[in-house]
Amino acid sequence: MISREDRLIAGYAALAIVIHVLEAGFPSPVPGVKPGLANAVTLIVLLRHGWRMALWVAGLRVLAGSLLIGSFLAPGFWLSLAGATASIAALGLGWTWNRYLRWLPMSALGLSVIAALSHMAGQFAVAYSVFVPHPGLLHLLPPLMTAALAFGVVTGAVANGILRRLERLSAPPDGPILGP
Amino acid sequence: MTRGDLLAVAVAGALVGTLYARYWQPSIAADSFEVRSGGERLGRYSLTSNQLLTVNGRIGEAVLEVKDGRVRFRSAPCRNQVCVHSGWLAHSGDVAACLPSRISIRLLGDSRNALDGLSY
Repeated sequence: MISREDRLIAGYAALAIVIHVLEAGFPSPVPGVKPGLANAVTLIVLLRHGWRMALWVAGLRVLAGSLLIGSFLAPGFWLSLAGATASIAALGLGWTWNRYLRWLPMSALGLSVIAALSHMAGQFAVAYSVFVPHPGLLHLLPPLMTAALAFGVVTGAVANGILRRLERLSAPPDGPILGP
Repeated sequence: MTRGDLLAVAVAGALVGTLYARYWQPSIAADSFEVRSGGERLGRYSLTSNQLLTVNGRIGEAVLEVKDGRVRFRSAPCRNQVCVHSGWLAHSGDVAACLPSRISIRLLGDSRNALDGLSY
């Protein structure tokens, strides 16, 4: 039996996979640096539907995205998986934070920043411990984390913008739905 | 942007700053150094034992001081003392030289940890 939730997960995951594959087509100056806009979808799902669905969407994106790019089980896949695991865990913490510390809530922007840094940290931990265990690699960590911070802010701002529009679209109970 | 966002960005910024302070510098420590005089290799010395070395150069004696994994020109016979002002050296690849007396030192790191290059 396919529930409404399953359909939502499939739809969101499909969106995230498209962004993931498009992003993989862009050349990157430094390995590991990517805008990570696909994470905007994860953030939107997290804030609209909760952590469990966000976990599904992120997991499906990594799996199906790597199959489409052809990096499944290649080094890049393990980096991506480690990053996604770390970032979804961080989002879980952020989600819990928002539930228990209501007076200091984080919007998609704050959540995106902690997810981006965790993603990079998880990726780097695997890269450093498994693929290139060389102390020279640690020199790359600060600039990589700077990129993660910058892209995290951008992705979070994008997600916030989309969330506002989605709320405007779904808020009026009746009347015609107009464009932005 | 909520206050929580500000907090998250501030903490993230502080973390990145800490990373720069910790890692954005040569971290491969040297373990020995090579002394040359007049183009001739005098020998390789360990940085682990504190000692004073006297090296004969073209215009006189220079004194090298090894202490706590670092080395410096303690005194040199030359006029402008560039080598002495180079100060303490501790990282693999660092060099200091007293050109008038043709004495130079070069720090050497653990060769197992040194890469010629990285490609992806």
